[in-house]
Amino acid sequence: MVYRFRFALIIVLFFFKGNELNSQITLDDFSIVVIGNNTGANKMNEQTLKGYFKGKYNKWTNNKTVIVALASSRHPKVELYSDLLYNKSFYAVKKYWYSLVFQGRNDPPYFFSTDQEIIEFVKLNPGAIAIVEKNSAIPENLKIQLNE
Amino acid sequence: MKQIKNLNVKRLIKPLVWCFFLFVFSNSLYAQKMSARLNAYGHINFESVFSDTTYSNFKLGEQELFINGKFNDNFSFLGEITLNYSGHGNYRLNIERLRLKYNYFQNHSLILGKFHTPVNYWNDVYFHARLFFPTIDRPLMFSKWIPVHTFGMRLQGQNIGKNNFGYDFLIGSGMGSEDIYNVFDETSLTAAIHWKPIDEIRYGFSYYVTSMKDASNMAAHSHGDDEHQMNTYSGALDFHMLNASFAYYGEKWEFLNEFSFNRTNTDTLGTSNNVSNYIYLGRRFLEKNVAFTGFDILYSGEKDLHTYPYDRMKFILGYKYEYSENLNLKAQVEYYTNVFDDHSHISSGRKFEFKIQMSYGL
Repeated sequence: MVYRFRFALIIVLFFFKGNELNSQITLDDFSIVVIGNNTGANKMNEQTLKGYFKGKYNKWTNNKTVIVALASSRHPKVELYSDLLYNKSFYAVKKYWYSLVFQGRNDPPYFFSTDQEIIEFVKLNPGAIAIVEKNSAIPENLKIQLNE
Repeated sequence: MKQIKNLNVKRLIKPLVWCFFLFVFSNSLYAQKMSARLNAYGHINFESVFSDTTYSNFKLGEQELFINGKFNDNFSFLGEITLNYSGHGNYRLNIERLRLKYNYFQNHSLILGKFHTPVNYWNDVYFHARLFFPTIDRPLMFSKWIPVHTFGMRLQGQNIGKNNFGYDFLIGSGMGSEDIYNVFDETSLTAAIHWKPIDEIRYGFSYYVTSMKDASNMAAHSHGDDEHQMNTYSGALDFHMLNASFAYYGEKWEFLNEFSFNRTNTDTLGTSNNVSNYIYLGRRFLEKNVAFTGFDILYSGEKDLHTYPYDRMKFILGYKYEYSENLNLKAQVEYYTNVFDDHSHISSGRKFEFKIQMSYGL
């Protein structure tokens, strides 16, 4: 009886707490900076930020279209970035986007081999968002702070 | 003789002109940075059927071009064109999706054109590219009553609020035509909602209604391979359908359930209730391998003049290997049988099928 109850409790907890399991790794734990160009947001919480990367929002609050820039398979930190943003491997991230684009729900993201390429892309494209390492040369106006 | 030659030339010219425009146009699309993309999808099939007669086929499946582009921050375009083998060296060119989308506020859009009717998860997510299908074939309900396409107008919302709520409201053509909406002739209405409490899960419900003047026109749901049969009843028919979908695509487990119920009504025989359910369960291992099983059942009532009295069960066992995110190989064994042994329903007999499918996207 006790075991059944424990089993039922685990299932109930899984359904109610499943949401939070995805957020166990936080961007703050790593030397990562979020960058964006003319997104209308200087601060953002992590859940909202991940929502933008997952294609949940098409537009920023200033009505600019969201353009997602990601690390490509040649990027040395690609698996870390994929895990931080999507809690998935890079292979699973590519599949995720491949399906979303085919459904006609989102514009495809852009993939780059280095942090420098990502920064250059974000600089040139209003509405673009990405993550890069803290030690990269990043213009202050591109940085987005993470809220607690 | 001259006429036949002319016909053949016309048949040839049409796809060639399409391809020419696509390739020429696609170049200029690429030139416009961040405005449009062109993709191609397709599959190749091998199948062996073991029933009263046994045969094997190795065939070229549906090949398609997919264009996705933006005019500006608010207006976008999506086109999907397929090329299907139609026998004796001929191919049929179809426009599967062609839509203009106006993103008027945040995640809310107005869409005009031809699109997949979002009545269930399968039709709203997988479309025509076999690359995304969890099993080689569509569920049986697609061969009988699912209105795959609608031409008309659609209000769409997605990822709203904490639970990622989404809605679709459509008005457009009925099942008789996928490409022309005869406003005063045949109209369909669709209301669909879905929500995703976590990224891996999606629940969905929909209601679809149409009144057909001629039930023998079934252009909008002829996607059932050899399970599809022509309807000879050309009278009027009212059609109401409810669907429920549940999808879970986790890191290890994959599960999809598609339930469909519809009620048809004719002056000739009255009301009939028809039901179908498809279940898929997959277990992913070593990231790119999926072992899967499925069960599909369909039953249509004895008074039904849309699909006719019909019952069928299908058991599926298969394996998928993903070489990459855009190339996979599926192999599956299927066993078909009838639900009832009586003669009140159309009997297609028992059969085994073995299928291999290579599907790709570029």
